Amino acid sequence: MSLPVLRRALVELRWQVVWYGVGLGAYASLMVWLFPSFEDTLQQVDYPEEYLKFFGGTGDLSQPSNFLATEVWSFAPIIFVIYAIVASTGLLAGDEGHGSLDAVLAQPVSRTRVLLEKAGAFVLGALAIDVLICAAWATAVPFVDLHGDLTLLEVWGATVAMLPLVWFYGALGFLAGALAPSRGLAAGALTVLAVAAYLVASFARVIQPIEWLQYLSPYYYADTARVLTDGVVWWHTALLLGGAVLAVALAALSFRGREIGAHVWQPFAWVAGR
Amino acid sequence: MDASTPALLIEGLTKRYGDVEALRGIDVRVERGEIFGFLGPNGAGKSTAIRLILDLIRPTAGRIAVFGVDCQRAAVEARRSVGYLPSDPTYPNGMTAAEVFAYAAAVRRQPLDRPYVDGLVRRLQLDPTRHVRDLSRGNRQKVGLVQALSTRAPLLILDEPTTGLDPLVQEEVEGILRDVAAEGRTVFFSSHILAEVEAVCSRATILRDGRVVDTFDLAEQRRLAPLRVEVILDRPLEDAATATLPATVRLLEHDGARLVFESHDEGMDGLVKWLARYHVERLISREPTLEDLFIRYYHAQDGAQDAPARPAATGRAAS
Repeated sequence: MSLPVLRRALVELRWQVVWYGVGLGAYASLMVWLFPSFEDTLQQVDYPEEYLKFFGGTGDLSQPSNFLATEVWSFAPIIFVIYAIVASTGLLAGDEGHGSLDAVLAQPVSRTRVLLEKAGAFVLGALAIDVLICAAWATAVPFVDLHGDLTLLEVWGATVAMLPLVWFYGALGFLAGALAPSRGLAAGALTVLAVAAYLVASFARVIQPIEWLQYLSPYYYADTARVLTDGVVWWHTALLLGGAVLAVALAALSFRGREIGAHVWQPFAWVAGR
Repeated sequence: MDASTPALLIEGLTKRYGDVEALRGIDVRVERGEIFGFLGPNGAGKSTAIRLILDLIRPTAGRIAVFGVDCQRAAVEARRSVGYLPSDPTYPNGMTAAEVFAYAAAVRRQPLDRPYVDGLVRRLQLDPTRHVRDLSRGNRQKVGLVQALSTRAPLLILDEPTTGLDPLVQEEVEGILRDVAAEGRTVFFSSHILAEVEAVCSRATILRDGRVVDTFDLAEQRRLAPLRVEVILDRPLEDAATATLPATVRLLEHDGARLVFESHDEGMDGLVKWLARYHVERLISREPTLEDLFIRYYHAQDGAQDAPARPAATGRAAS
């Protein structure tokens, strides 16, 4: 199976993958290397509990797992999600706006196949970023005294746990790209939603009356820091992956029904594509 | 498939964008092996029709079939028979021309005919190792043309194929299209430039405001349409003298010693005999161009008072 569209999409994604992977990895690695320098100070500072909860921490910041929960796992997923939105909307809506999608769709290939190959490239790109972050952890975790609180395998597990959330937002990016008039609108609308969902999850953790709202945010189901303390919650993972599959299926239907280059919202394209 | 099935059949094709009607029930029939011109000014609906053929957009009403295969219900199968050149070819960033050809072949799942592509590249003087984004408009057009031709598809759909090309390359493209037709392949050629359609097409449809104005056989049109004859005499001629012109000849212009006539073949002898009584310094006879016809149609459509009537017979083809 030659999968030319997938291979081409991977070529287009390569620099984004490298920069996001190296950037996030370097940041994660730096936080581990800096931990011993902060450790004494952090033991003396008593942060308000709400403050820690807002950033995903659960207690004593001088403990490596809590330190990384607030310094890495609170930010890394939203940055990774931004990548997901930029990459997925770029692969579909971006190519349509650029005009290069015509060159592919004018060939004897089905739209579903084009979309699935592009989605495949996105999944592999996110996986590659994850691998780069894991490689970066390996340059720090084994060499820094973390008091036996964290192992390399545990941080790798938390890193891999970001993927279902990233794939979910990527799938939404393909769906938005198949419905919106342009890549800018697709990416913009989805970024606003992603940031809002992130803030909802953060505020709902600290404001008791709206605590239930966090369950509506995809971030709640992204078991990053939680993997370090509670292990993987499989139904969270299944929910995000199921959501991603559903979004890709809807994206495929919408893309099949879409009028290419029409530059208008096409909210009912999925009906036309059935 | 029946050999009489047309290469392209468009029936009652309508496309609306909200209140705007881009195509209003057009009918076109393109036979196998012909080079068919799809003529019209910018905005007439040519590219819309082509995007509908390729199923990039969907018709409001009507039907399109390529070699009998429905372009909406069996779009992938229909596109298997089509090589397409868009009006403004755009390819993924960072690709060289050679990569564009290989990529398109891979997407089509067919081997690239390298000797054929190399021959086209040489004829069009294209450097296939250069990145497409660095190429001029004309060179990108060549990339698109080679890609469309490299498919060896039995139907080529070319949207304004000579845009941005210099005259020498345009001539080469016309030669390539004749070669394609000689192989028995069909070319559907959209253009707003009448001369290039006239140079290569056997039949043409004129589209205006989303409607087919006419479809005609170019050779027949040339045979039946009047010749234009410009004469310069050695001295000015009085208006009254033209009253003796044969009835088969029509005087279009009279400016002193310069006269312009229009006549069909059967009136030519009478014109020459009438001119024999004067001293002729120069005589220029020009075959009617498609442009002449085009302008007539447009004037007639606009209801211009001085518009000459449409020629009685222009080989109008049923479509």
